[in-house]
Amino acid sequence: MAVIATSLGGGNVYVRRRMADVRLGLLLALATAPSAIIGALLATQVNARLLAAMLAAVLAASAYGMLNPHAQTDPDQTKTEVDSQPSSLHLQTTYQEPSTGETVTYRVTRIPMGVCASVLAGLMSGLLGVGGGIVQVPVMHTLMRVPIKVATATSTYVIGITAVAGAFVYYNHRPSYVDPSLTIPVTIGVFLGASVGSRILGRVSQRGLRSIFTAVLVIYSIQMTLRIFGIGGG
Amino acid sequence: MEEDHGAGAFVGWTLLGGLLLSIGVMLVGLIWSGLTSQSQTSHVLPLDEIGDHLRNGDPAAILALGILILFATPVVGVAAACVAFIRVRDTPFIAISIGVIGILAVGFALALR
Repeated sequence: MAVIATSLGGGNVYVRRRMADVRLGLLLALATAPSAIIGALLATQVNARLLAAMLAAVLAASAYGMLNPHAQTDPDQTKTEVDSQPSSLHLQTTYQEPSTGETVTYRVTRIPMGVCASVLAGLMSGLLGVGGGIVQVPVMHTLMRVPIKVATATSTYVIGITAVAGAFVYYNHRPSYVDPSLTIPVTIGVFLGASVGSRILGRVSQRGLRSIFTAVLVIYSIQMTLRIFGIGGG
Repeated sequence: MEEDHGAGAFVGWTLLGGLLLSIGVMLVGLIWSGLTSQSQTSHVLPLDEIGDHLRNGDPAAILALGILILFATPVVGVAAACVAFIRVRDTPFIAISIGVIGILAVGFALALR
């Protein structure tokens, strides 16, 4: 529920400002949604420590990808390059950088690989009940060469669709995994946080956002590793 | 590009509207629960029981309805995007958005098993 509320609270702002690419998001959702359903169905049968180990490994790999200077994308691809390679899928090729007001041009690459990697994001989302963004943002940014702000915004939009795919399974499980006493505070709190966060995103630099995201990946990876050894709860 | 901007606004407002509606319905359920002095259960009502409980004015069913509106909003958002793609005759993405809705429908059907 928190993931869906995050997606709706932040995603609506990103989509309206055209920072999120709806077409790219739906293309990736085609891969993440079915794997999220499979993940949700398997979640009750898979060992919790094994799940934590899987997530820690994926997060560590994602953090490495974000730190790798060869994989980093700066929104400085020339318009000539974009125009010379038109996409039959009409994916977004520009966005307006809120911090400067400039129109930034980019080109989405390696679409088939990105779609395949998104299967992993969906599986993680379904298995662990987390947003697949921790996998999908690095995939979009480092693999598909999407500027990190667009990757973050598009991921925020997609995680809601991915989470819904498995959410009904969690909801109708008997007993249900949804606690009604938590729904209202979680939904309102997350909505407010996501709304504020989506507005702050525009003011953060590309480099700053990449550093923050990498730090979150590392911290989350350490947390998951500690959980494998029974430290830190869970 | 201008058509895309309109489509983005259409999808964005759909997502925000659904989220606010779900919060509103959940709050009505919470207030109704307080007014009727019915304590909340620790588990939500199963999908196939919500209709009957709603007809009886059960606040737990109103709360469950709010949760379901929240779950349905991203699906409605995809449908809104599909409508926008139909307007601009973007055939690949009409097919992709219908495919995503189909997959979500499968998830819903599996949950009802």
